[in-house]
Amino acid sequence: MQCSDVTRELAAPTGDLAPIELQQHLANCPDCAAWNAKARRLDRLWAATRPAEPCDADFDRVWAHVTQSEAAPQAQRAGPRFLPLWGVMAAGLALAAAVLLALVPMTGPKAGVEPGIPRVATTQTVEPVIEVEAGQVLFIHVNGDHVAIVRRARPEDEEMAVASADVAADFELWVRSGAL
Amino acid sequence: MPEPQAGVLTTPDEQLIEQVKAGDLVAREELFRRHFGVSQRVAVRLLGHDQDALDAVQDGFLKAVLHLEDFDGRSGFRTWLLKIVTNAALDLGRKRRRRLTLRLDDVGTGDPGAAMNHDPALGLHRQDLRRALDAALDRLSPATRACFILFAEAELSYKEIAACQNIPLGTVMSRLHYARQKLQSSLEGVEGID
Repeated sequence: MQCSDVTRELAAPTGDLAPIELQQHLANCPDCAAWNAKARRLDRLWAATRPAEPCDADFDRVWAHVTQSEAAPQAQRAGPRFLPLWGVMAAGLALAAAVLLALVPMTGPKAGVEPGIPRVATTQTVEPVIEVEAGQVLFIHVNGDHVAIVRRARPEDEEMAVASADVAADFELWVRSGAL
Repeated sequence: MPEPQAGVLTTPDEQLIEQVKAGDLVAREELFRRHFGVSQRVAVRLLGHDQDALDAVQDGFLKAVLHLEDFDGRSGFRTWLLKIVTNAALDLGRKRRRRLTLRLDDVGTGDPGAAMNHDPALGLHRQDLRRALDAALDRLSPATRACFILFAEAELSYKEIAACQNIPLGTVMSRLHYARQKLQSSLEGVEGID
């Protein structure tokens, strides 16, 4: 029996190793016995720090917000919304997405926008072109009157902001895909 | 809080979902209420902060409500909901960064240590342990952290975790092994859990 098999079984039990064999190995292998002791220590710590069950009032608050937001028109829903365009996950061809934002006048840039990101401060329709490579995911965050477009190489990667703009509630957004 | 209708508490999720799809709002509330506790605990573990966790659960529940029609029953409702809540928590965590310190107002409100015992010294000790564990969890990648938390906190099966994370079963086992190894070595110097 390999030590790596033993620690794997201790970390995520499958029943593939018979308990008696496991015990025998632990009794004769100080390394695995030490690993097992640390694992049991982690279990105790996990149990000792288990988060409290939330109370009914917590659920009521959350649920009230959910039902209110659900009833609200999309543009007024609190919190950012994510519209992943999974088309960009398709086969290994480059995709060019052209995003057309028809915007109404705005008063000027607000604080808190990442430097270097093109901002729209015009009364005209603009056509920022955002290049998206195959395998990347494009997210469009709409939060109140602010739109931010971010890109991730993979879902678990950090977001890379590519465009940001303040818009009127009734803006239009166009996505044009390249060859797929 | 409205009392659930008689019999709703023992109704299986699948039946509640049928009722929800037929427009039963009481059934819908009950469906989410029964999975609120585990959603909250998972979010607390992921974010290391009670209030952020509630925000994440709120975001996740809203997304789930809006896309309930998309639930196809291939996985259990609990698994489907936890997947959405986990993603919501990871999204929120990226924006706010995990907060590794407990706020003062966590003591006596969201902190179960204070509720479980009345010894302030024990409560503080528990907070220290939680901080240490949060810091160790923070050293894992979001995907590995979520995998371990779904296993250890939500007690999902390997198959359910695989469905939650869209990964093969073998990857679940590898992530659990790696997570344990990292957590155990990160926590080696922590006292008070022997």
